[in-house]
Amino acid sequence: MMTAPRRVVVTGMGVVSPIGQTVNAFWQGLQAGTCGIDVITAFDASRFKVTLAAEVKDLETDAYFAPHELKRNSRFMLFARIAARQAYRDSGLASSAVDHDNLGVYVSSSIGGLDNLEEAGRVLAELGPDRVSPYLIPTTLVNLASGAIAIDLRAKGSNLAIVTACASGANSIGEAFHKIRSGAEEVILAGASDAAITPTAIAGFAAMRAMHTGSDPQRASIPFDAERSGMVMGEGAGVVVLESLEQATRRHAPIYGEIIGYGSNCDAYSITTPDQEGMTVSRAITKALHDAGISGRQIDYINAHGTSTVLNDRNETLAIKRALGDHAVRVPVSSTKSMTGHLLGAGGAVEAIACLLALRDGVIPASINYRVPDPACDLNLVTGQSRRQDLDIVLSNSFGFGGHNASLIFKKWNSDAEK
Amino acid sequence: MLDTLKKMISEEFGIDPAEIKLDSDLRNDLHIDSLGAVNLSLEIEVTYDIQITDEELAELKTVGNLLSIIEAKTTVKDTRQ
Repeated sequence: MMTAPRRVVVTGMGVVSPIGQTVNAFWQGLQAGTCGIDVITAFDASRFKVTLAAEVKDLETDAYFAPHELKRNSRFMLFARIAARQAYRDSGLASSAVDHDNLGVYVSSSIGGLDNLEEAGRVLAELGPDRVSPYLIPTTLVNLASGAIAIDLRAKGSNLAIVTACASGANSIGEAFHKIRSGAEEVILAGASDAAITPTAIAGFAAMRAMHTGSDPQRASIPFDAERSGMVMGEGAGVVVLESLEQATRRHAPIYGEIIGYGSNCDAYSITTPDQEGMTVSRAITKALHDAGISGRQIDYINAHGTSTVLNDRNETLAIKRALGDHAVRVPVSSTKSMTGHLLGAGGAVEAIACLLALRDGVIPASINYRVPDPACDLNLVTGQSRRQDLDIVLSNSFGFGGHNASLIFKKWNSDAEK
Repeated sequence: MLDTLKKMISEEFGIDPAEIKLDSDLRNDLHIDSLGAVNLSLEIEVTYDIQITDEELAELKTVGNLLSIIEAKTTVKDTRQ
């Protein structure tokens, strides 16, 4: 007799984003259509072609860290640790008799502690090698988000940093989901954090011609719009607590939604250019549908990767059409990057949280600032204002340099139906 | 000089200056880890314009040891001037 696969639910969430530093503030911002994009203040960008970014302004650290702790962290570590503590507290794990030897953490990053690396470069050039901080290496490594969170939460279980550029957050959540479903783990905090609004990162992405160079924040990150011309860098972190339904039920945990499908693959085509026909991305979506055991017609909303680059949005449109057939032109689609900018690896994590909130409240966040339709991106875009609509199953896409593709599928949690 | 050192340790590690005494063990009493000790020594080097060797750092146990190193090295420097 076949046993039914274990079910995995989301029991806690934490967010640091340009439009809110708590889950509630983030969700209010998404529903209101708040644009988090503004002139760069993190450094003097006057010599840069790129002048806009979606910064986390006035990071609220007081509730989490003593002043002396700040310098032992890089910015992406602070974001990750704050989001993880929010998620942990939210899940009620702190007051549950959970075995910390089996508490896992899969929180990664696309780029890691670039801010500290740049500062070390300056110190090296100006003051010499003997003045480089001993904290440089342990605040730069990408795995230090997961490592530091483990120390904060005494989480001694499986601890990984899955790095797949801008798919890092989605892959981390997807891999954690499969790990729990397989029975190998009971609970994992998963997500990603990125803080790359730094001179080197902005210059590097600009050199690739991947970034928007205009000066109007309201026409900068405009996914699927015919006048889109590149991404806008954002920063932040998203962490979710994934848990087996058995354990979540046993400890009466709050349940935000269920994760039911995950598909990942690689274009194996180009480091930076997406597979032109959307073929591989469509297969990632199809893999996620098979994993969930559902048909594409059951998808009620897609939170697109939608970076506002010419190539991504066209390619993602093709991929959605290939994967969903005639349902592709009917299913509502939006990109919350229109509000948050592109949080790199953290993007997939905060967008997973956006999907779970959309399911819970029956609200589709909009692609804001959309104006000019592009025939190559003729999806059923939710633009302007968020829309109320009952949702049962939603899909979130994330793709990263290196050709990494990840699709996640979430389902509304109906506690009455489960009784 | 002791007050300055106490202030540096206090700010670096968030420790109440009243808890920092000459015989305080850096590791066991003040809970300063190896990286923290290295960073503190770096700040001391910059503040007092002295060099603390790896050997001296490895043998460092107490706040008093640290103070002795600073005093010895700044005295040598003064004599030279």
